[in-house]
Amino acid sequence: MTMKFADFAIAETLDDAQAKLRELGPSGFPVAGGTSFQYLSNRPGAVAVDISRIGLAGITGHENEFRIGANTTLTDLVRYEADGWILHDIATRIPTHQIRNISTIAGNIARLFPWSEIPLGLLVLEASIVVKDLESRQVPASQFFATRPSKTLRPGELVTEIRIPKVTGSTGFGYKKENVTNAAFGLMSAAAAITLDGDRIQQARVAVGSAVPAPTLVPIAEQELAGQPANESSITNAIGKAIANVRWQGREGMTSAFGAHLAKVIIHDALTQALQRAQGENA
Amino acid sequence: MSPATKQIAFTLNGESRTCEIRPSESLMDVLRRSGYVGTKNGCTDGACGSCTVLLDGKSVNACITFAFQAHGRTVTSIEGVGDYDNPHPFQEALVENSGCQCGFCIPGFVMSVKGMLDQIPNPTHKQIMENLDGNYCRCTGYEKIEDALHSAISRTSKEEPAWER
Repeated sequence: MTMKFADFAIAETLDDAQAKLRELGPSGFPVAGGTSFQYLSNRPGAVAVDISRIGLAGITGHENEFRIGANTTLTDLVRYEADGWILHDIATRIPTHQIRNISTIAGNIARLFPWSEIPLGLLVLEASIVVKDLESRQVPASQFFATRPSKTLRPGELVTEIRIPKVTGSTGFGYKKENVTNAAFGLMSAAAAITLDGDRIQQARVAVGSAVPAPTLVPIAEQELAGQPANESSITNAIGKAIANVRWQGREGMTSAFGAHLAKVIIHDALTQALQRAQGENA
Repeated sequence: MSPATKQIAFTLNGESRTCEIRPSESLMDVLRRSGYVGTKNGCTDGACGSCTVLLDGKSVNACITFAFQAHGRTVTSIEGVGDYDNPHPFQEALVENSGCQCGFCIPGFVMSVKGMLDQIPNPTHKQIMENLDGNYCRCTGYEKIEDALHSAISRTSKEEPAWER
């Protein structure tokens, strides 16, 4: 493991965890699954606060949304089944089973890496993240991921819940990821959501990850697709402009130019899957 | 001054244990220095699965699990699964089907399979792929391991295997 801790504490409740983290200040690091710490550099005097026993796990379906406890594991996201549930599409592609068994949804979104995948689904579906300091507040995903959450959350402030809309009716969701091996991080990943109004695209949202500094929306694609006919040509036409406005990064031997090429393919495939599902096809 | 070591208590292979651990020590390192060397040190970054143990019944990579995460929990290592006289059905089937070559990955495979079969006695092929996607073998090409798994499921499940070979 890369990051070394000088000490650790075990929190038994949410209040206990928050109190310990407030007392520690910037030296305190909440640890749920803990798998991301192998990618962090050392911080002298860092203290781990184990928050995996404070509850906050489980998924519940509500009228228009699902509410996911912060400590819900990625395996639970894979195995949950309900109409309108899409996060299994993404969680299934996060390697490996052993990691999915211990990694949590809040860990996946609070410590943001270029290859973080759950944020893509939350961004395109305009999910909200419930953050608790002394009081709870709901933060729209686009705002939550605008900066690195682990740097902007105050000591003791923790993600407690994620609320994600159900994907129903004339809305379709698509997710595609390219990686070299099953256990590798993505070279490129993209999520897309399309809502139809008859035979036209009413709204489209695209988010990309891996070959960018952090998961991000691609607003140009959304602008180009809104109001266009719901067909393949509209998608193809929109992608060219969309990818030209993003600075792609090379990863794992991939050049930035190849990143841009791969983005074109992966975004196309994610949008096409979203469109087909919005049209009622089993894509 | 932070303590150099701290004590944790957990259940290992059915027995209560206490261990002095360093704050950043991995569960794998604690197990291995305590003599449980069946938990193999392969990649040290959660990719190969040779260090797989069960934490509260779920398979995890001991190399990227902090030892303090085991405090108050139940850990099962390969030493707690079976032995020469009383092997786990999958261990028995591995021998019968020549599923081991160098053998380094096998403890990890056995732990992942045990974790799966304890929860899903008759898994589908999709469930098997999901549960074993974190275990690498660089000798067998997986065929013999799959044969052994099918044989073990046939032996232990009361139903016909949901997965056809």
